Amino acid sequence: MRGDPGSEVLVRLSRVAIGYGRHPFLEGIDMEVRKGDFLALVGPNGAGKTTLLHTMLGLTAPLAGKAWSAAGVRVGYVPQRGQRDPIFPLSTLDVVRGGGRGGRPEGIVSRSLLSRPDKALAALDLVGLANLAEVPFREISGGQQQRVFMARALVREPDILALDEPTAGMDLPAERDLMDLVKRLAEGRGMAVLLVTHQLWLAARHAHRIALLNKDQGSITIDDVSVLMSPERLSALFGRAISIVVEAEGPRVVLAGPAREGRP
Amino acid sequence: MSFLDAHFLWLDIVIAAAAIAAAAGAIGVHTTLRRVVFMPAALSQLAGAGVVVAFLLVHTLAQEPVAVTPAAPVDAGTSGEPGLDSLHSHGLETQSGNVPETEPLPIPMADDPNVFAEPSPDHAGGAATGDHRSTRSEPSPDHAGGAATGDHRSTRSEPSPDHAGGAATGDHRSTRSEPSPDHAGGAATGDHRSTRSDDEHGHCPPMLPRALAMVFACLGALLLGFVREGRRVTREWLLGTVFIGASATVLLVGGFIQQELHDVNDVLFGNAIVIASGQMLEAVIVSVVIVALHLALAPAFLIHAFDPLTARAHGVPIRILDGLLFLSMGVAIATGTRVVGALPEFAFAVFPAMTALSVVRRPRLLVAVSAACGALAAFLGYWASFVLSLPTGASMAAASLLIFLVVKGAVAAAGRR
Repeated sequence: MRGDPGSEVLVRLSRVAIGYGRHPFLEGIDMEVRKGDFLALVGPNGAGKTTLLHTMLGLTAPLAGKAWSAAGVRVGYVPQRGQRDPIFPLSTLDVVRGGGRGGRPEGIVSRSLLSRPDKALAALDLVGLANLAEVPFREISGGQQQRVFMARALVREPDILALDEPTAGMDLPAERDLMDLVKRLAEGRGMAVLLVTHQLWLAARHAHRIALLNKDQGSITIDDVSVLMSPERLSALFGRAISIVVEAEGPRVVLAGPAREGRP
Repeated sequence: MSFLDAHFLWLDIVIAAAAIAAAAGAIGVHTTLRRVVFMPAALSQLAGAGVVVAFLLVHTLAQEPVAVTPAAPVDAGTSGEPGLDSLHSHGLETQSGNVPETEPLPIPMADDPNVFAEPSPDHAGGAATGDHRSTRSEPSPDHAGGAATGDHRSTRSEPSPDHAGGAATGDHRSTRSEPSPDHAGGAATGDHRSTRSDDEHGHCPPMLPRALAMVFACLGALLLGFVREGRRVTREWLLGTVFIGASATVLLVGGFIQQELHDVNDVLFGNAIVIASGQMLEAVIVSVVIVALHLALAPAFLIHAFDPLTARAHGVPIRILDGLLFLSMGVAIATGTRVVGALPEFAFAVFPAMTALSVVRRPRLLVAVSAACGALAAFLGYWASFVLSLPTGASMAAASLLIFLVVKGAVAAAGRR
């Protein structure tokens, strides 16, 4: 299933400008995210991918324009991998419970802010970590922590699954398993996926649409994968000669030459 | 008299201290996990700033009409020296006897059998001794210095000749003290150069300093809690600024309200020795509310504080949660500082949480164990203070540290086996 023009709009940006402080670096952004959509945000380091994602999720206010989301839309968010404070004595299951309630209220006070343990355990099972439920979160590896965050996002039964470099630090099998799971869930549950990634092959293989960002060029281009995932477009974006090799498992993006003039 | 036999002496204060320690233990879990363990210290100082500002307000307002009212009689001995009048109005007249001629105000604890009202030898330094209207009428030797360093020995001391310096002791409405000849002399020979009434001296309504202390502490907690850290401003920087600024305010404003300084210390720092029964009830109610709140919301507080960005993305009302958390910190610190003093309150907000974090992981269990460790430390500290005649506040702080070290050592030993 993919987000077709007739499906429900979950997020809409109209003439939005994003930036740091009061200084916009990308302006005039118009885009929509629909139910079943799979949009990859791609660009060099510091291109503004995460800022754009946060604007779409309402975490960051746009500097200009309007960011709108449908009433009652549920977001499941997987943040960038980072050092979590190890002083927190939470178990893996506790962290997943932090995903909160799904579509149905589950109780009062703190219970409504946390998932039921059985649902959290089921989400952990989805990412293959049910056996680590009682293990302190600080004691599992970085890759496993990312999968726990994925479980925390999934326990909410989200309408939008927002992934900010979700596979960073994962080994190849885990990375592939995770993305296959995301694609399966997106297709099975009809949820929209927003994927921020440096790994072009992930975007090429899984996304329906791509947003190519480069704040240095002040540009953002959003279109279908088949249109944008071309050597010319990617080479222009990254300032390096890039080739796309089509393999049985899908396209693979490779560097094809030396740096362009003026680029490291 | 054994400790148990003397329960009528300590029961109220131990209940209050244990309650306050439990509340501090509950909030300590969060100050520790959020790495803002110095927040209680900064909030204590802010509460102090609120108290002195309250006294300064009343003092200033009371000063104005006196300064311009010619009807205010002035002793002939000083009438020719306007500068002295000014000094008297700032409390220096207590050195020469400031016995109010108006109807003395009642001491809230005058009928409390648990109250020792004998002043200790060193207490002469407390400028307002003459018309001491504190809820706690039992100064300790080092009480004028502030933070809860009460000493049981002082509670049983008889007034000494040294106390003659506290010239208004004749007005000291003690329930037990026998005025010494020196005191009587002090009172009899009191130099009534000022005839202004207590109220004209700026007697502070008892609720005002407490209310301002609470407001300052709560606003400070919200400010420190919600500050958005950036490249130039970090929470640590702000904690230091608040601590230093509030401490300086207390000292600077204190210079203008010397007569009330003893009351300020009383209201602010407590002495962990005696307490009004109303204050005990207040401490218990505050503690029950705070511990119950933290037990109910502990999982949400902890789990969402662990990753606030994701919590926001998931629509968790993180600002409401944080607001509740920081407000409860402000209330607990302002109340606790007044009951037991700054040092033990700070200790209760640090060591019990560290103890709990050494042995348990479940959020609610963390809060429960931390609160229990705080209450235990308060009791043990008071017991040690009573039996060994040690300063009470320091004993409580040391007890909380000792419990932590014992538990940490036991956990380490168990880990080696």
